[in-house]
Amino acid sequence: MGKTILKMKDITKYIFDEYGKAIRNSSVKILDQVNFDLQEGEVHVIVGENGAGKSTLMKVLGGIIPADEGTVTLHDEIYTVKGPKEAREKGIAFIHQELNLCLNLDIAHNIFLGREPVKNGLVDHKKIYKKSREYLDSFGYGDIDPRTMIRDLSTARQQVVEIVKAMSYRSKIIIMDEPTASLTKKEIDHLFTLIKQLKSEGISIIYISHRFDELMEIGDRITVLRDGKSITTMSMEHFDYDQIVKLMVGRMIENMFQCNHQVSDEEILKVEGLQISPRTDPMDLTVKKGEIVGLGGLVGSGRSELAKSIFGAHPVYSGRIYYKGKEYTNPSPVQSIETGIAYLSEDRKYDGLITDKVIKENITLASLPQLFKSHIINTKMERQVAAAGIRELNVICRSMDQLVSTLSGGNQQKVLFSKWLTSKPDLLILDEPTRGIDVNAKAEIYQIIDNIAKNGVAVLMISSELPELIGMSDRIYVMRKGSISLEITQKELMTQETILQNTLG
Amino acid sequence: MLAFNQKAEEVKQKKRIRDFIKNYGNVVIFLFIWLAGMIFVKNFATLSNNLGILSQAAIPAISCLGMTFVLMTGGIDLSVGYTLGFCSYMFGLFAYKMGIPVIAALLLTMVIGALCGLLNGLLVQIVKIPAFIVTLGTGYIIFGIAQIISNGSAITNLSDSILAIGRAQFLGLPSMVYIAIVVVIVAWFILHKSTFGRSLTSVGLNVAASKLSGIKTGFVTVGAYVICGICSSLAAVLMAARVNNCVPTMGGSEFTFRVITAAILGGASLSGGVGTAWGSVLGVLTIYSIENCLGLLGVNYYMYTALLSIIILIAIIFENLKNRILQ
Repeated sequence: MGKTILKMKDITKYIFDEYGKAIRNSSVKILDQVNFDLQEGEVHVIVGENGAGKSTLMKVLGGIIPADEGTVTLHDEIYTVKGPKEAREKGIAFIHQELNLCLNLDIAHNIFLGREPVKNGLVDHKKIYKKSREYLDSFGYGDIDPRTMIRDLSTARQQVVEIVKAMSYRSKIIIMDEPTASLTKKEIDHLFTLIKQLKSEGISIIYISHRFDELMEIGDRITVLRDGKSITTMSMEHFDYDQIVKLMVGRMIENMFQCNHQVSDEEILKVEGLQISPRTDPMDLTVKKGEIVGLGGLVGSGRSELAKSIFGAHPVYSGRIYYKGKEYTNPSPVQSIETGIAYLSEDRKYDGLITDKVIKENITLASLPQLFKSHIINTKMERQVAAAGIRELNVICRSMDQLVSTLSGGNQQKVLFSKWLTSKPDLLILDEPTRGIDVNAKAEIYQIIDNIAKNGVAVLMISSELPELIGMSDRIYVMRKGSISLEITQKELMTQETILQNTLG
Repeated sequence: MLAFNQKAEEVKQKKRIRDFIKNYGNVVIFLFIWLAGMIFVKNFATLSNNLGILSQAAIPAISCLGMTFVLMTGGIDLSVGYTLGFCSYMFGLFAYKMGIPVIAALLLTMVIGALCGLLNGLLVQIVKIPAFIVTLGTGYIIFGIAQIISNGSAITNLSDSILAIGRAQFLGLPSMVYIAIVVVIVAWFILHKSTFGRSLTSVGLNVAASKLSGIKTGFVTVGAYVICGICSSLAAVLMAARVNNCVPTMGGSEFTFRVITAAILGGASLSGGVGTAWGSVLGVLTIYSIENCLGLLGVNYYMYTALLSIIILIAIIFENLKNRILQ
């Protein structure tokens, strides 16, 4: 193997507030002293769970975001870039999962976008086509006409254009973020041939993927990231599936999860043959009174859509929903809240809380018709309800008249919980209930969820964090490609390995 | 540690200034203009002049409150001026030409105003076209219908009983001032004390969160436009009584812009969710104080539109600056 051309040492990135200012004293870090190196002509694979820091690390390298601490050395020189353009000029190309091509331009003009050759003050289109032809030929794509519009190309071909474009910058390093996510088997083979060709030319490739089978085929070395830390880097020769999965998920913190709730026999929610879109398989699901049911799977596997379908915020394509034994037809948020279904959404800033409103108004927001039957707001009663919510969930704040935007993430999340608990739900759907909050707040939230179930509420909890999913759930459904791929009913069978195996691939 | 405390103190100080600008910026502007008038403009400081400003502000204030509801949802209604003209003519038609009792005619006119608002609201909510385009279009449609019905004519010489609606004097002020005060109180109550008002600000600040929280966002949005239409029709009746004339060209775009400017000067935000009933009233009083000063200073009538437009611009710039400071 060749010499080391890139070295990233002790890269640290703190979480930041809404103005982009780093929060240094938080125990949560996006990247925590990550070390990574890349050799000439190798394919270096990076794996890790959602949120492990893969994308952030690559964004640092690609000049999209700056690191707060740490050094990057490229060709034995300190590497600092101010933007993606500068990174590209220094020979680092980033091919994103969502391709960044202009659909209404042809291949040649995409390759030369932003650096069109000029002749006599005008764009030299002839040269653009000639050069593009050469580039395509050099990769054996003599059959592709540089005058083809990007929108007329298949995804695989668009990817080829991205790679050719990257090579036209004389890139030494190409970052590929899940390049095979939307390719067919044949197209993947084609891509791999291309990667091998690049390798033989001394180009290094950083390859991010969830698909383990292809890593074996293409990778030279593998780095595992977990919770923003680089766990290990090893040669692909020592690749062991089970071991890598173990390294990805890490250990569980056992005592974080308390389970004092009791599952009863009464079925609160029953879903039969539900399809969230015409192209996905139907699924069945039940949640009992006092039960916490986990819903695992990758981001984009249809978990939120399923939750929203039950709550009435996403159309049900087909199937039936039974709530408390009765069929629940045409769900809508208004009706759901009335009958006791609550949905705590994934993104508290987008559709969870109204952050420019004060705490008390957020707490009562979902319960206005219940609390104030005469449509007139009883200020005294509102204050009592809000005070009770703040006390119950231990929201740390100066007063209930404080704007929600001034609270920490964990406290905002508690306000969100309080809002839904105020609506007195019998079925509470939680979508990533501990996203973006620190460890202590997480432990508090787990206790809150346990208490909710103890009070006889049926809880359906979506989570990408496997320890949390396993630690909290009485049963787990795993989703893949828009449908349920596995149901785990016994606590002993809930292992991170089993769940991961059924989410990936 | 000391330095840290100092910094914390600085931050607190900044926050206090921010809060002050956010909560009382409209009061400061009004007091600044009004005190400047009191000190520098001859004859401004008399009681009768100030009562005059109140009388002048009464009708636009009613429209401005309606506009505040719409602005709260994050929308805008550019058709209020035309709705006003249309409603004034319809009122004249009902009360004068058809001889319907004044109160019944007033109610009928308000129904027409509500229908105009409903049209705006439904187009904005269901067809999902930006509010300013919808209301610009409907404004001209309403104006066009008014032209067809009136055939370009006006109804004048209204009977005394009609004129009394707005003109009857009590304690030195015409009845329309008292009507406006009642409207202010009702609007304040709906905006700040009812679940509808609460829903309105929620929708203006975050539609997605409001929808998931079970707020009937469509109903609330359409409701705001209907309220705005009703306010315009009430303003139309009072205006007709005031100038003894019912004509579609009354109001128009100039009236609309004056009303919007007043609401923004009063602290309402063009991006929705922010605004108060009292603030909008202050905004109207600010504009009419300026107008009064300009009149007393003998500024050329033809300068007037240009000056008012400059004030509109300054108001919007201030609003922008305010938002930036608050961030």
